[in-house]
Amino acid sequence: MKKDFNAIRKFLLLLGLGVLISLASIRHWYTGGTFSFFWDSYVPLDIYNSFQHLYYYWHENIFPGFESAGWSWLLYWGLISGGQKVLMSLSLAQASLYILLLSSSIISFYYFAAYLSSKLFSNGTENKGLNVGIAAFAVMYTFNLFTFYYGYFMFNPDIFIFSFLPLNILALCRLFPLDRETQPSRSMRWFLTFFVTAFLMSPGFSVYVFMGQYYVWLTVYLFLYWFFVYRAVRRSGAVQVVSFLGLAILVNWWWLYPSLLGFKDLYNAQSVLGTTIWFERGFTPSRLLNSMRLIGIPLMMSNLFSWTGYFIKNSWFTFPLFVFPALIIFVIRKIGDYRHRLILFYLFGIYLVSLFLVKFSNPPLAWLTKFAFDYIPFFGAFRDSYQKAGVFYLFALFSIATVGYVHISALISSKGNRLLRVGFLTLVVCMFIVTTSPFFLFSYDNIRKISFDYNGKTHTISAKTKIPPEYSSAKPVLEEACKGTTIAVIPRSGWISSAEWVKYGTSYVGQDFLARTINCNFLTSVILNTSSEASIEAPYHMLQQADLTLLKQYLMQNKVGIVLLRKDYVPYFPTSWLHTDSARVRPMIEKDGGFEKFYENDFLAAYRLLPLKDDRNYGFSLTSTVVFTNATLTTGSQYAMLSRQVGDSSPFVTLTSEKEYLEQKNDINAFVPVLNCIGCVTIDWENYLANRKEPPLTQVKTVIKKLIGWKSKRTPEEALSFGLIEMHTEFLKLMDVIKDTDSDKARMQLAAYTKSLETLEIQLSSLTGDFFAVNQKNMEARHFLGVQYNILTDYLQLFYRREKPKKTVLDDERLRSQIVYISALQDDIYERLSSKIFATDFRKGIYRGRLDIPFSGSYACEVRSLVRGVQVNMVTLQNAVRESTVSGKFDPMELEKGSYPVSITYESAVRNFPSFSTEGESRKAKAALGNLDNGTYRLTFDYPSVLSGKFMVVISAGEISRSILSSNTGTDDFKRQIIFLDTPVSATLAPTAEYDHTFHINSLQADTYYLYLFPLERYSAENPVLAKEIKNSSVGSVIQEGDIEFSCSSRKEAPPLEQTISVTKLSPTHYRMYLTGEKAGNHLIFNQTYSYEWQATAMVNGKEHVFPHARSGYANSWLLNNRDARIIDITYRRQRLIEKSALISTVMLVLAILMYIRVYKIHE
Amino acid sequence: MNNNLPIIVTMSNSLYARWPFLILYYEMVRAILGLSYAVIYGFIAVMFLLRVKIENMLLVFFGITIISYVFGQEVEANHYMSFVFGFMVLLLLTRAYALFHGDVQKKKYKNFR
Repeated sequence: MKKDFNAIRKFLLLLGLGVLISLASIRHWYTGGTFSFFWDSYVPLDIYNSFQHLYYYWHENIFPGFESAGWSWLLYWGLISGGQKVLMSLSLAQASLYILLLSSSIISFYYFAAYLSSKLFSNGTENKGLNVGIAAFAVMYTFNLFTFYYGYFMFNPDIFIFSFLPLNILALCRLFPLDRETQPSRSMRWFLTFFVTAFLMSPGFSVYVFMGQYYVWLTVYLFLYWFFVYRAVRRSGAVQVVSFLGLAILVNWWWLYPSLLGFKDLYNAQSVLGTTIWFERGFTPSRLLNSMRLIGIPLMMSNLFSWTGYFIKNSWFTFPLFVFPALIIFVIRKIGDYRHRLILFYLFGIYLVSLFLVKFSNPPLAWLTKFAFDYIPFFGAFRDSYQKAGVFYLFALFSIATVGYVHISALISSKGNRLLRVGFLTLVVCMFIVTTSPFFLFSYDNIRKISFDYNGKTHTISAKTKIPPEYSSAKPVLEEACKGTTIAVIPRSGWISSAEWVKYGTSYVGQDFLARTINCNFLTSVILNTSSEASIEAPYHMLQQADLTLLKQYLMQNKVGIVLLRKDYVPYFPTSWLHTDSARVRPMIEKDGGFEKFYENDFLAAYRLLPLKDDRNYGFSLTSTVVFTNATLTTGSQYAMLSRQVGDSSPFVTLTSEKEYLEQKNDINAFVPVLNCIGCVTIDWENYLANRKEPPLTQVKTVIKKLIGWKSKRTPEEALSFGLIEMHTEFLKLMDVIKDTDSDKARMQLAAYTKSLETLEIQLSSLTGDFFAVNQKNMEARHFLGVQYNILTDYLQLFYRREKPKKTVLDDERLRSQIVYISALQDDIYERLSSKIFATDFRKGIYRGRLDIPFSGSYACEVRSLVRGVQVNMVTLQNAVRESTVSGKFDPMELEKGSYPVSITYESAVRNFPSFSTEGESRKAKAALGNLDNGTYRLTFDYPSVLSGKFMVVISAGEISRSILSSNTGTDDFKRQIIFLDTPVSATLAPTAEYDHTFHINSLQADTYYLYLFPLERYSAENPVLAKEIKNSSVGSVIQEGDIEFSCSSRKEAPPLEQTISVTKLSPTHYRMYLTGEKAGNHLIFNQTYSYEWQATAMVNGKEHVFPHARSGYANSWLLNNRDARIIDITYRRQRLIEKSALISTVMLVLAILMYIRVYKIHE
Repeated sequence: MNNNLPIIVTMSNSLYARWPFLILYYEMVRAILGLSYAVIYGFIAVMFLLRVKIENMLLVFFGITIISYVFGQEVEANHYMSFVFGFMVLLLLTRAYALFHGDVQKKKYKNFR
């Protein structure tokens, strides 16, 4: 009885301590009714809206829709929404959740650490002083740099794992103790604790890599138990262990199975950037010296606070953190001495494996991690390894450190050395202060703020925010108005948006407030879905060009019925996409008769597009217009072009692939061919080919083929491609031998390479066939020859400059002259090919491409430059110059089916010739470039070759002043000011070298740009003055692929629409469409992102009819091929599967738990 | 001192082969020969020859890490931390082997429990 009372008293004491400390640490985040909201923290701002998004796997509110996996957050959102409902405040609800998680973390870790001590030390934790110490470690486990950055300052559900993992492992230890002296507990209390905490961790498991690690470590634990304990006691016993593991997996199956269904799509989206790219970049802050002491967290580097410098620069401040590795080392040295040490082995296993992952690309054995990134499937999930492996790493680290602390304290107590005790405690206290400092010592500045300049004014965005009343008052009006239609928000922001509410002194940057608070479909950015994102960029391109007529046409084609102007948006680089100032758009819209304003407050103004006023069909529309285009539709400008070429405001089906063309050839009644640029994509052939060596396997194959005299049947084109590779191999061999001293070998190789060159010339001259195919082969050969010529002449230059001291075959004059002649031969063939090649020449201002006409007929074509300041002069098509109107349109022309070469000459109007000046006695040179619009520019100038590598070119936004030396300037600020940085290096032997480089400007505000030249050589009175030495400098805008658009259209009359529809939304994944009209054959379009899961079915004569589904651009289309179908159900099939799966797995889990309890006699 | 023992054992049992002295030796070698892999691996090889226990090697490298850190050589300190990590893994593996081996022995003679 007394024992129970003491246990309850201890629990209440811990609870009180936990709540008090938690309250003290976060109180100031919530004063004034605010809540914490930053970047991608998911906070359910509106309960109904949030649960709808959580429950349905198709998110249609962020138009044009995407699927996501997320039932695992049910608990998180349930807790915060429940809190909001009860407490009537989102601020209090979030604060309560924080306090719950923080105090749970303290209590949970305390009990685990106490258990650990009781197992490892004979006297356990009877000492009150030790209890206080363990509690201090529990506080450190809860409040540290990792939890601050990865859990609380920007809320992340992985903190659920952090809070409940110790209790979960404690329950596991009770049920399956890793020592042979303790009987496994059959207590229902521990059994339930395990499964309840496993459920409580589920919000954190939405990041699968956390869940994967949890199950791996759980399996390891159960294996250790079976191997060292169970097997020793009973011969059999694997069944119970395996059953338990099965149950543990089943606990998360209800949400995991649906997520796995979408895993392929998620993986495809996430792997767009590749996985090894993260590893190649590396990350020094997670090096062992930091990781073992808990500092260097990646997020610390990108989220600077006023105190970050203490951790990054001040080595004495972080010195006490050496106590962590010291405690760990103490324990591992004594590991053989502990009573029940198996649990320690287990914890050390977690610690060392996780630490190896946490250190990422840093030594030791980084190649092993690289190998894993390269070859182990899904290992790329560890790309932000500090976080991904950090949760388990920190659990193990703090557990072992607590053991170390208890052990050392006991040792010191037994020795009775007061000085030692004071010294040790002082170190631990210092470590405590530093570890918990982001929450306590630095609490004066632990709310994330971002400051940025826009139009000369500094704006600050804070993570402490609240929803302004204007959004709440707009909610009912917009929700009523947006039923069945979509809202285009101006200016365009993204999934992550921002706002500044000066009126209330609040602001935010994070998940779009509009889409999160108001239950409507908002045209915004769908992350990592190129085609859909391109489609919604189109209207903003039109706005940038102030083309309101085309904008209206696009909105009608895509059923976007409302335009919402935001007045609270200040352009901030990471949240701004194709910025258009809403103040500039507003008068245009208000003057236009096509819009009607229906709502306005201080932050928002909403306009209805009148022609779509009564169209409430949720993005569904019927059409008989089917368009085929060869445009890739990967950019907004291409969608804008398509919209313009189709020409009317009715929706249309868009086909882009050859497969779709063949399937629906008879239905197509409009063709929109676009010019494909030839020679626009520049590949760095030099790097690609310079070190290309045949892999060993290919070398073996080549030898075998030569031995058996095997010859494959190749077309002339294939033979040429293989011939090029063989020639290049011979060339690389030649380069190897001329760097050596064996003249005979060099002569033989020279003969082999000369022969391959001659073969190439014969192959090229005998090449016949299609103009574009021959052209492609000529370009291919030119790439190889260009690279070979450059490699060879570079080496010859080094030889003549005597920069290669080693003796080589080039010292043989005869051989040298032969090699020089070879380079001349390469150049000769290169020039001959160049004169024949049809390709874009940016230097001469000629854009060339191929126009594929799929169907003979009359085509209306147009040419447009998408770069301001670049003007099209002349277009040559079918070897004839075509005259266009001022707007770039041509008279309709008759074109036969086939491919046509098109040449477009253009001129860059933006070209300035900067003149350099020298300030005072300074040797640096400066030139003003004036205001430059966003775009790509080419900088060219001539300079004396002797200055190669001896000066630096810098282009900056605004003048560079001493302020860039300020330590407060973060890396981002520096990058924003410095647009371009380079050091001209030339290998030419001529006295003057040419510098030619492009740079890119992408700024939200108009800036004046400057070009600087900084000397990089030792001071000498004889050094030339840069401003005088640089000649013929120029800066002009350049164009790239797609910057000049040439497109045509040919239309046949579309059959009349004889059906009408009305649509009811049953849920975001289920719509019901009522069809009227007798004739079938129309196409149904649904303007949500294409997914094969969307299905249209109808019950016809008691049977289910499934309509053929196809992709239409980014969207969905169906051919309505059954005239008897009157009611059509359009469903997102996965939702039904998910609901069934959740039900079945929940029932199975309950049954399995009951069976386990019965079989293994789990009782009270 | 027992003169019948091999010299290497005599040396390894000496007070001057304790870990604080090993740190001192390393710092001296490091000051004379500079930082190189040859110095570090050579030093480790000597420690193995002297039969220094892995747990003591771990302490030696941890000590060197702290000294380098205190003298502002953070890159070098990080380098030594790699060895600390390596010795921790090695130590855990040797202890795990002992645990496993002990367990197998006990099962073999069926005298456990």
